Amino acid sequence: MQLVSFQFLIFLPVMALIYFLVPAKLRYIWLFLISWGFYLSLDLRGFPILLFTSLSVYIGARVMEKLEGAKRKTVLGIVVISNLIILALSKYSGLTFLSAVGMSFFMFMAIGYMVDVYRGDLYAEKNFLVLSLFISFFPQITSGPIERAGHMLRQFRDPHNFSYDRMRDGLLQMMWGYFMKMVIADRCAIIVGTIYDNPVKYAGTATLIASILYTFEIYCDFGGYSNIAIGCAKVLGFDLMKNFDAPYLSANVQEFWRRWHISLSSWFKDYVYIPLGGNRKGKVRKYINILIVFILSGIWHGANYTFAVWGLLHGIYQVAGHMLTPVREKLCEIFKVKKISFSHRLLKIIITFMIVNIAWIFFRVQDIKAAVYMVLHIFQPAPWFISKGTIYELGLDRPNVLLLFAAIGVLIGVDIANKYGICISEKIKTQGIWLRWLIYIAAVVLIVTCGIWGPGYDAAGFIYQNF
Amino acid sequence: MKRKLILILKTFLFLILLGGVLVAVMLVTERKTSYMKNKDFFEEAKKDHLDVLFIGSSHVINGINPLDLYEEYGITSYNLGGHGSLLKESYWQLIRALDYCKPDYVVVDCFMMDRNYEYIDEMYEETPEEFRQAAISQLHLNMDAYPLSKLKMAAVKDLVHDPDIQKQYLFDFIVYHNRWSELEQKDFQKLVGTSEYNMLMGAEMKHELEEDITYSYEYDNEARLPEHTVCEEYLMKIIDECQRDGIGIVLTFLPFEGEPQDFQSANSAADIAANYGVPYINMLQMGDVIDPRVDLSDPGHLSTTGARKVTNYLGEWLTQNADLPDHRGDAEYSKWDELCADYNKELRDKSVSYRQLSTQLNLLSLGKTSSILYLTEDSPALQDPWFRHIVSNLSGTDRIEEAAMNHQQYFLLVDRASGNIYEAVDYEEVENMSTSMGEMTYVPIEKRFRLLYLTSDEENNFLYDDDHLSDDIQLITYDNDSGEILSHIYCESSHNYEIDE
Repeated sequence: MQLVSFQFLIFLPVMALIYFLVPAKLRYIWLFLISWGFYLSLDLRGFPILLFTSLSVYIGARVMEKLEGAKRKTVLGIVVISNLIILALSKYSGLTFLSAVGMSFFMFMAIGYMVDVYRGDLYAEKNFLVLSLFISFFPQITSGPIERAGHMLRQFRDPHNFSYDRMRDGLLQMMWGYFMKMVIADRCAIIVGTIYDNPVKYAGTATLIASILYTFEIYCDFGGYSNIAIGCAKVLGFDLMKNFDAPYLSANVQEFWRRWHISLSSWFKDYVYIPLGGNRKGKVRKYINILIVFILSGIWHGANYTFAVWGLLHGIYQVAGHMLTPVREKLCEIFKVKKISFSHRLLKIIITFMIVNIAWIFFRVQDIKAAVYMVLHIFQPAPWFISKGTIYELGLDRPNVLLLFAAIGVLIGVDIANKYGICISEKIKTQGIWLRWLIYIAAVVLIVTCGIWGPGYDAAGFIYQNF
Repeated sequence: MKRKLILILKTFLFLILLGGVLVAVMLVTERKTSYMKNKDFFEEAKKDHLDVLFIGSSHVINGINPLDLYEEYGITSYNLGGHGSLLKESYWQLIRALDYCKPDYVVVDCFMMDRNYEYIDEMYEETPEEFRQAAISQLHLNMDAYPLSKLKMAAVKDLVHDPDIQKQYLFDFIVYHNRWSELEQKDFQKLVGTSEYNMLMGAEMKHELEEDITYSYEYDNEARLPEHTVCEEYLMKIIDECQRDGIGIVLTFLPFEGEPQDFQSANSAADIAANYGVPYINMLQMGDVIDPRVDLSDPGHLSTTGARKVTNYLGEWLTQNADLPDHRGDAEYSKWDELCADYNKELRDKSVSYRQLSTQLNLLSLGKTSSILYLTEDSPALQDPWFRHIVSNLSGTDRIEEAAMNHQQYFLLVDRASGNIYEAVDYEEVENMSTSMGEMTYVPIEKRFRLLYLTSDEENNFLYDDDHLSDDIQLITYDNDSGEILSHIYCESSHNYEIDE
């Protein structure tokens, strides 16, 4: 069962109803059963891996807690390395029997838990079902957010009662997620696929548009999933961490990584960057640490070396950003640029967007040669691609292309509002009932009619589920 | 407590509203072809007005016109043929239809009985993907209009193997929500029940003559299907079903340009009919039911005139063998008279004006209007054997051949009211032609000038053409009764007989 499926839309209210009917102290058992059932329906073959991870961290943490000194480290090492070996073998050696849906996510959550216990930030969880539930909680198991045990375990132990407001907020967030995924991401994917599959056939502007649409596709795909997962958890009374926060409105790459896939970035920061020394050991070491973290992040995303190049690019962006700060400051001073002006800020956002956009090309292509071709061609203008209507011949007709651009416009508008602290859903909630209902119903109608789904569409295709 | 109650009520109200809007959206986005095809079926079945059901493929859809059958024989019927429908699909079509009515007779066409595969989404291993997709799409015509039921589910399961594809017949919004970008006025009219629908009781007429078709085959009486096929099996099931329910059944093989596997099917169908003791009309074997050059729209499908001949043949058979009531004149069936009137008006309109002259001349043979045809001596049409055949079919003589042989001008007047047909070749004059326009005279003067006038008004020349010197054909249509001129068409035959609107 996928989060974007009819089955899920029937499954969620039924399981939620039962969940709230079960006594609060026993709810985690119901959730645990549902989560394992959900996973079994997704990936029966991968279940032993999930079981191994759950058992290894449960036993490892309990044992480690009773030990002291180097022995603790040994246990931590055994558990972490054994999980990482399975992850690496599955991803990079092609041993498919070792692969499991969402393993990169649940293993990172489990490793995070082990490290937290090792550091003494958490007590080892005594209840196996609660810990397993943390690792396999169904809304987040396939694509995150990569939650922290400290944040989730207490919520499972002490769940909220039913709240109408939470349910409504959760459903609204899910709806926004479905909009991002089905209306934008899957629509972008059609044009992106057409051009990326055969970039030589198309003019430079087409390549540029394809790369920009892919930049939105991956955001709406993953961000959409995160919103569905977070909204779904909210319906059940759980708070999951925010995973995306208007990332394409960032003014530099550093800010981008504070807003993009926040749960993964912060995981790398807490469990890799800081243990490596962070910025405490001088500039050179800091830059090396940054490069290590981003290369690892790239490798985490996939076995192909293009992912590592993508990570390396982001590492270089960050290091270069740090190193060039004095130069930028000096230039601003010479040309008397007002750094707080709108135009300066906008320029920085556009530049950041474009360099992130270029990096996504490496993320999408199969080999570096294709990526280089794409990068070289996006700057060769061919405006007739738009004026002659070629854009309507890439798998989407005119109404669909116009809808796509309108939807991206809505997305940008909502992100801008969010960035300035205006929550659109909160604004809607303050409207009169008829306008509110009109908006809700219109949104549902838009998603079910204009969403890309049905025959020929593989609902299983969340990009981040592969990682 | 009060707040909780209000919240529950509000939630229910919201869900009802949302559900209502979604149902409306589904109605609007739904592809209307199945609804259009079956709307009258449900209405007439409910009134127990259907004495005969026709089932089969597009050969049936295009080949049998229930309105012609009613107009000529008073028999009420419905055409449940489906595009690309195999006998397996026809079986399920019949079973579903029998849930709504019990006809006296079922007429089953046996085309494609050679097909030996279970599922339309699989077909044969070597079948190209586009064929599979076409079959999947075509099945919607038979399925969509029928509400979800156990029977429909059983039919879908039997016809389609892939569970994912099965779903699109049980809940077609899965497919049709994508239509949001192509919605038309008629899609929204569905909400108020005023959208267009099939006005021929399920049939679709193909007016256009697409090419000159002559039978190139010799019917092989001995050919048989090499193996027992799935479609044979389902033909037997259809017969069993009808015999069990006491419904008369006739098997047919409607005419078209057959190929060897069709003769095998046709003969094997004869064997099955004989085994079950049911009548069988094999028109593939009969050379004289239709004239393929004007009665086939394309090699596989009958034209409007061909459908009329085939329908009349079946009407004769049913009248003589089936003891069906004649409903003409019965006030309860006035809708059928109205539909016939509408259909006749449509034929008349197309006879008066059509985008292609050869098709228009063929439609004129249906006699809805009278006509005058003139061809210049150097007209390329005179050297076109197919065009001459169409004119001969209209005139009932071969005089146009004479004109063609000697490169001479040709004149034809067909007056439906009197039944008079006048022809002239070369500089032959025809005086005092009796027509519903009045008494007329035709006098060819020279190559580019000829006169056609009312004997009482010599000043007005109907065949004047100074403004159309490049056109080699003139066609005038006039009302059968009043003689009012309805159209005057000039055509350059070298332009593929296409007529500027």
